[in-house]
This record gives sequence, C-alpha cells and structure tokens, in this order.
Amino acid sequence: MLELEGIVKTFRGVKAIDGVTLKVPERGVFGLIGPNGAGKTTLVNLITGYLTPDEGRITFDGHDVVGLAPHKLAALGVARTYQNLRLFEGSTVRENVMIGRHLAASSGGLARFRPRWRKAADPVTEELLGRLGLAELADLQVDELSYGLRRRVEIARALATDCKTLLLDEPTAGMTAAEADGIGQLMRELAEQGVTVVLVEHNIRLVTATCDQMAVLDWGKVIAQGPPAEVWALDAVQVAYVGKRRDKAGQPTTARTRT
Amino acid sequence: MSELLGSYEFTLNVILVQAILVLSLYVVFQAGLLSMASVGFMAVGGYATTLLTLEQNWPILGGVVAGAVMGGVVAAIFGIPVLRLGGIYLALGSLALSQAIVIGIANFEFTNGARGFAGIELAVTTEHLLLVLIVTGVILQITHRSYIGRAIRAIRLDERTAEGLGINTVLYKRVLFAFSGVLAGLAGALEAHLTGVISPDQYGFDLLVVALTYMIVGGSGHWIGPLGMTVVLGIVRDQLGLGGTSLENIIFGSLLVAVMILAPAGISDRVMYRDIGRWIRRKRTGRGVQVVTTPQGEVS
Repeated sequence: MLELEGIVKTFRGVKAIDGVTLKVPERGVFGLIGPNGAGKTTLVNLITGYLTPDEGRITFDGHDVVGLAPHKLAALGVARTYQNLRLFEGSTVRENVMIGRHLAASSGGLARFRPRWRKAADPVTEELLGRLGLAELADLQVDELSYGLRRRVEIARALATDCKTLLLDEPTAGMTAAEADGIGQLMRELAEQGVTVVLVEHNIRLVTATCDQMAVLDWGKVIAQGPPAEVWALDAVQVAYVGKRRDKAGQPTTARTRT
Repeated sequence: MSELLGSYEFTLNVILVQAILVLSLYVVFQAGLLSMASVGFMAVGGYATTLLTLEQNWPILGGVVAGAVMGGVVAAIFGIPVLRLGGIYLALGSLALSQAIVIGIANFEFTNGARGFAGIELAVTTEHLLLVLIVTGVILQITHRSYIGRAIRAIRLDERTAEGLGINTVLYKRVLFAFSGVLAGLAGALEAHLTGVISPDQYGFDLLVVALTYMIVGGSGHWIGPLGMTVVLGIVRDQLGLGGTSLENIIFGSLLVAVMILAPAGISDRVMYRDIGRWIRRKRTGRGVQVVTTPQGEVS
C-alpha cells in the first residue's frame, strides 16, 4: 500500500505540492486528476524517487521510501510511465520491453549475464507484447510508431518490471477514444490481478469509468478524495476542474477567479 | 605466424595493442560515457609490469596480470569522483586524470622520470594479442546479448528512464569504468613486453586522438565497429606512412568530422543501415512510406 503524509515540495519558493496526504488502496485503480499545473506529475516524480520531498513521509508496503533512488523504488515494485514519452529511441519495440525485464532477470544473480541469442527469448516480454497489441510490431524501431502505439510500448515496458504499483502519467494522451477504452480495460484487468494502478489523467470519462477511488489536486493540495461519483458531486471540484458553478436553477454562473 | 607476416608483424602487433586500447574506450562509450582516461590507465599497466618484472623479478605473465589489475584498481578508485561528471565535463575530467597520471609518472623517482626504462623482456607475440582480443570479444559479445548489455545500452539512450526501470546506473558506470581500466592496463602491459621500452611520452595526446578517432568512427552500437576500424585505419595509416605527421592529423580530423555529420552514431549504427536500406528500396520501387498493418488498423 502506498501512503503519502504531509508531502511538501517547493521549487524556488513556489509550493508545487502543499501538504498532500493520500492513501492509495491496494489492488484497484486510483485516479489522480487536476488542472494543468496542479502538481500531478510532481507528485508522481516524488513517489518514484525522481524528486525528494522537502517535508513529509512516503511509505510503500511499510517501507519509508523518502530519499531512495528510483532504481531502489523500482526494485520494491513501483513502475511508471512518463507524461512526455521516454522510450529508448533507436531500439526496437521488443528491446524496449526487454529492458524492463532487467529487474526480474537480476533476481537470478549471474543469470543476468546469460546471453539471449534468440530475439524472442523472454516469454514474459512476448506475452506483454501480445497483450498490448504490439506483437506484430515487435521488430520495428520505436521511432517508427504512432504516438498511441508508443504509449503502449511504454506501458508494456513498465509492466515488464513485474511491478506491484504502476503509475501512469497521462497514458491515453494522443490516443483515440477506442484506444483509450482499451487502456481502461487493461487497467481493470491489472487491478484484478492484484496490481495497484495510479492513473494520472485529463480524460474525465476514462477516470470516472475506470477508477475505484480518485483524488483531485489543485494548486498542490488535495481538494477531494473518494469514489468518482461522490467526488464529481462536490462544488469545489466543479470550480477547480470545470471552472463553472451552477446556481439553484441549474444555470451556470461565473467561475470564481483563481488567485 | 611471424614467417607469414614478415616485416609487417611489428606493425600488426602495434595495431592489435591499439585495438585493446580502443575496446577499453568503447567499454565505457557503449554506456554513453566519453572517457579519455584509458591512456593514463594504459601507462599504469605498462609501468606496473615493467617495475615488477625488471626490478622485482616477477614472471612476465604475473607482471602482465598485475598490470591489468592495477589499471582496474586505479580506474575503480578514480571512477568514483570522475563519474560524478557527465558529458563533455566527464571527457575533460578524465583527460585531466589521464594527463595527471602521465605527468606523475614523469616526475617520480621510482618510475625513472622522463627517461623511462629500456630492456624490458620481449615476450608478446601476435598470437598472444589475438588471443586477448578474441577473449575480450567473446566477453563483450556475451554481455551485448544479455540483460547486462541491454541495461548498458539503456543507460546510453536515457539514463533517468533506465534508473526508473530498476537499473542501478551509478554501479553500472563504476563497474564499466573499472573494466575499461583493466583492458587499458592490459594493453599497456602487453605493449611494454612487445616494444621493450617504456617512457611517459608514449602516453601523450597523439595516442589518445588516434584511439578516439577509431572508436568514434566505429560507433557505440557494437564492439565490432571500433575493433574493425582500428585494424582498417591502422593499416591505412601505416601504408600511407602517415604515423606522427601533420597530414595524419588533417586526414583523421576530416574523417572524424565527416563521420559526425554523416553517421553521428558511428558506422556500427543499426538505424543508419535501416535508413540506407529504405532509401535504396525507395529508389528502386519508387514508393514513399512503408505501411505496416496492425490488428487495430493501418499505421504508417
């Protein structure tokens, strides 16, 4: 279980994250939404060890993980994708996914040194490629793929680490609605298999349809947390996210200016 | 083998020693690190075996092994501070380290200062050098095809992402730097027993520039590139009688610039061959974009 307690992160005097406390329940899809600049990606970077919080505690399965390097967090079972795709350019789809298998291969100690002469040497990689609809593209270089397909390679690569918690930073950006639904379906499957999925998204429809729990971040603070239906009903969320309130007669009124 | 090669034997041997040095540079270059320290570690290896065999009466094999180990130990120790640097700063820092080692050797009493040593026992033959290169090549090829090799390439392509996938990039870089030191030390020790003489001026900037040219032209994709380039360019250099002339600097400098423009990842870059292959096919068939069909439909 992933828990954040009173996390503060300041960039040159600007509080990007201002006292965030979150409990991400195990085995489910947890949505994290918020307007641009709300601090979503900063939060993901803090959880995965790319940034260190100024204050607060982050625990993962009972371990205090503040200050751990990203590779140690990955070894504990935290994997992620990136908002701005970070694939290994100049490598094939299969190679990208196989790099994600490094941790699993490492558990065998010297087995890491065992050469793999055949291309499709790793069954887990092949299974993941099939699952994400990449099997026929496995030997293409990743720079030849469309944006949506590149996103899927990144998800396959993160899953290849055998992670317990998967943080997806806007995984459906650039995808068609049908493709996004496919990703939503995949997240539900993963949750059923026992993976905790943290979904950072702008796609409200997807978050509502997929998540068991969600939190809304605005100006570095959590302004609401709970099941999607309850969260959307809150006035504060409407103001922060949609920017409009409705009066008693159901007519939209001017949004409060955010200062 | 000496009857077969005749007067070319010595030239070939020098090229093979350089090939070991170039592979030492490649070992760290494959992780995206441009280190220039190998020439310094080569000097460490050369002087280690010289002092041990000449003054302590060690057997030659013991001296050569000690040279390789010393190169590795020095690299492992200096790797810790130097590898905190990246990119061009690493190149400059490692160059400074390499020069500091060579200048140190030139000024110490026990290394005989700038005079160096002569009369080191000659024992290295072409067969020995080929054996070392074959063993190194096998190790590099096994690594290349393993998860270790994939992790090293991942570090070159995107270090931060590699870290997020559980790859301990700091440890990897330190181990590679130490292995690079072992190879450089080995090259230095073998050279000492090949030429019989050693002095600090052997390990100057000229050697570094030549080795770096071979490596960068060869590329970071596969070890065969730098190794092949060392042999080919080494023979060209010898046949044209270029060694140590200013014409050499002009030709090799131009070659380096040409490769950096035309094939920035070196001649062992797969993507370049893919693009060339496509270009030829396009010229032949007159077709533009390759269309790939996926279960979801067509993507270009």
